[in-house]
Amino acid sequence: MKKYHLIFLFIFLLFGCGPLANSVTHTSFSSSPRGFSLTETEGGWDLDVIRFYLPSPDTLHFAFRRQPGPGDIRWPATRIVCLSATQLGMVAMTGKWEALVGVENRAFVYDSILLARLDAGLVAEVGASGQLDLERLLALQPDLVFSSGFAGDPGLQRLEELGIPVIPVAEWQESHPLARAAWARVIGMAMGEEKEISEVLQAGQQRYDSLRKLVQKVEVRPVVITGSPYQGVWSVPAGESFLASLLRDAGAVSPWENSPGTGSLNLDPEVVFAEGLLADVWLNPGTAKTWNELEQALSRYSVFPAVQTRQVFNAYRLSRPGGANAYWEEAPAHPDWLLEDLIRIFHPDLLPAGELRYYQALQP
Amino acid sequence: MNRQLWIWPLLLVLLGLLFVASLALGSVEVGWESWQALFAGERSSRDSLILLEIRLPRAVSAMAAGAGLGIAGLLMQTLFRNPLAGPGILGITSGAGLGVAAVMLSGAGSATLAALRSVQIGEVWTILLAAALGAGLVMGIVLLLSWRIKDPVVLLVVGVMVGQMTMAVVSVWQYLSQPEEIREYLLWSFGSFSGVTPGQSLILLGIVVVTGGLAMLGTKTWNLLLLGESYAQSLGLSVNRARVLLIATTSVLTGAVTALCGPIGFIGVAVPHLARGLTGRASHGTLLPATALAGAALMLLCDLIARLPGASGSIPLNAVTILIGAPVVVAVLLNRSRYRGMW
Repeated sequence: MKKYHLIFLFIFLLFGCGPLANSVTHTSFSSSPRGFSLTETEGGWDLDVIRFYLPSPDTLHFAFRRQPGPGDIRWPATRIVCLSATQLGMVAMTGKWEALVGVENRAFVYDSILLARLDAGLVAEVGASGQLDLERLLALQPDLVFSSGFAGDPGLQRLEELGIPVIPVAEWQESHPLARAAWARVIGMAMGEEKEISEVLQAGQQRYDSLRKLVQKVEVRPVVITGSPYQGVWSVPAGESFLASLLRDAGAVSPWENSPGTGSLNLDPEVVFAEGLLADVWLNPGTAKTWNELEQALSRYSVFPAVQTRQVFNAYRLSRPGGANAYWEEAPAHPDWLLEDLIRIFHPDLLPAGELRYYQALQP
Repeated sequence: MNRQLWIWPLLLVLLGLLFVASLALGSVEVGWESWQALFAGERSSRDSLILLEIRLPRAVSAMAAGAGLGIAGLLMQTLFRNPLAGPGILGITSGAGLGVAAVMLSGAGSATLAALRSVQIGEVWTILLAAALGAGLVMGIVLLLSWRIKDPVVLLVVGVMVGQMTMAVVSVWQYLSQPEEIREYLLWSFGSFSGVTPGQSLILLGIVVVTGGLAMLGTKTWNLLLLGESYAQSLGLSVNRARVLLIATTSVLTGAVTALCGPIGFIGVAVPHLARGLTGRASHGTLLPATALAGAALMLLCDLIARLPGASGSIPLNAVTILIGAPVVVAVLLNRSRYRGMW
């Protein structure tokens, strides 16, 4: 069960996986989201979720109404279930914790307010996708469930049949971190806080843009590789993924930045090894937290220049032993903070002295 | 003393108790008042929904799957004259999985599976048929090989090989498919009764009852097969026709259960032995209904253990069925002499 979680956390949640598109020629992506559109109407909102990443793309329509008719969702929703850590960070932006009644698993919760509410029995654990506790979910009588947007979960299908709307939040399929963060508007809207969230997002976007401008002047761009091999496959961000955009905006070069696809590329570790021999920085090298652990887990990669020069960083600075990590929970809604971290890593002299928030160099 | 007399009420009471327990126990507590309200006609309350929409279809499909796999296992043991034959062991379940993969991973995957999950009857039949055909294909191959290989243990190894090859084909297919489709297939392969809709659980029950009933009509023929090919032939039995009937029956049963509930291991091979132990008989007229009842009860028990009432989250169903079923297989191997009539 644990292993299963790790597979999805590492392979899907971070990079996502999507169908291949045509080759990418552009170097920057729109910061507006592709996956949803929100329209304010009389007495509520209309939400269209566009699943552009499916083999046969489709659009799901949801009507949020103050006076809900049949098939409408109560607005503002007061009983919400979130099945992904990213959504929890977006709920945190609204501050309306009382509307959150269910989460996937306590072990993946970082926010201390939410942990306290879980311990007080105010929030229930409903299990991971594929192992959903349908009874408990139904007993919560939620207005809606935010899923992580993987299709084909029979448990979620059953929920929909029982009249509980399931809204897929596939933020991980967006091509830019700002577009990814924009999904916070959907969650804010459902809770009646769209205006407030939009203001926070806008401030974040302005900060992101000014940081990005700062980087545009730099001349030396470090080459960066990410991730680690898992069962014979090394997943790297495809050129149209939000992570590729983030690396680009932070002034780094990814060997795969011109490849097609919004998700990840699953490569032979040998291919990544060849590129790693030329890389200056290595991000997210698996679960290793110290140089010793890295040496034990991935000894053959110690020839990488990034390892020799100690330029290997993981995102465990704000994490808890069970797997909870602010990097998963908070950073997606605050891409400016994440960008600042990466700029500090790639271009240490560009910003005034300060500390990293999510990342840290491997410990001695 | 005749064991048969008390075995039937015992099995029925056990099955009834497990069925009630399966409805009564879960991660949400459903009080007695809610049961009373349900019987008084309340259909839309929270607890009524949990009982009717979640627990009832799960209990019904678990019973049907247990009975179906048990009957399939019994018929296969007769067909191969091998006490270790069973849908999981000889790769028939993998064959059904190949059929399911053919539908799920064939490009139109998402649409087809979405249709499967809804209660559109016509679409459900597509995947059921594909699974039955896959099961029949593997079963035909193993049966062809069984004509050349007389040693039942060697045949078993060959069956395992064919099953592994089928799984390898599915793996390659997965590798070439869209991630979205692979995930659907992965979730299916865990095996579970919780995704089965009320409509599908009734379809499954119907298939098992009808196929099991048809198998009951042929008990005399199956008994003759147990005596050996030449002996059966000398008594005027068309062995080939009987073989085809057995293949068709087991393929439909294994295919239906596997398509709707996922691959479930070791129940098919273990339950007939439990039934033999309980009844002390080798005649299909007794064994077949006893296997059906014992299979239904055992599967309910496995599902209850997998769900661990009260706790959220669950143990994979397959882990439970293997932990219970595999020791039975080992026990059979240790007591080979007792099954001499079947080898």
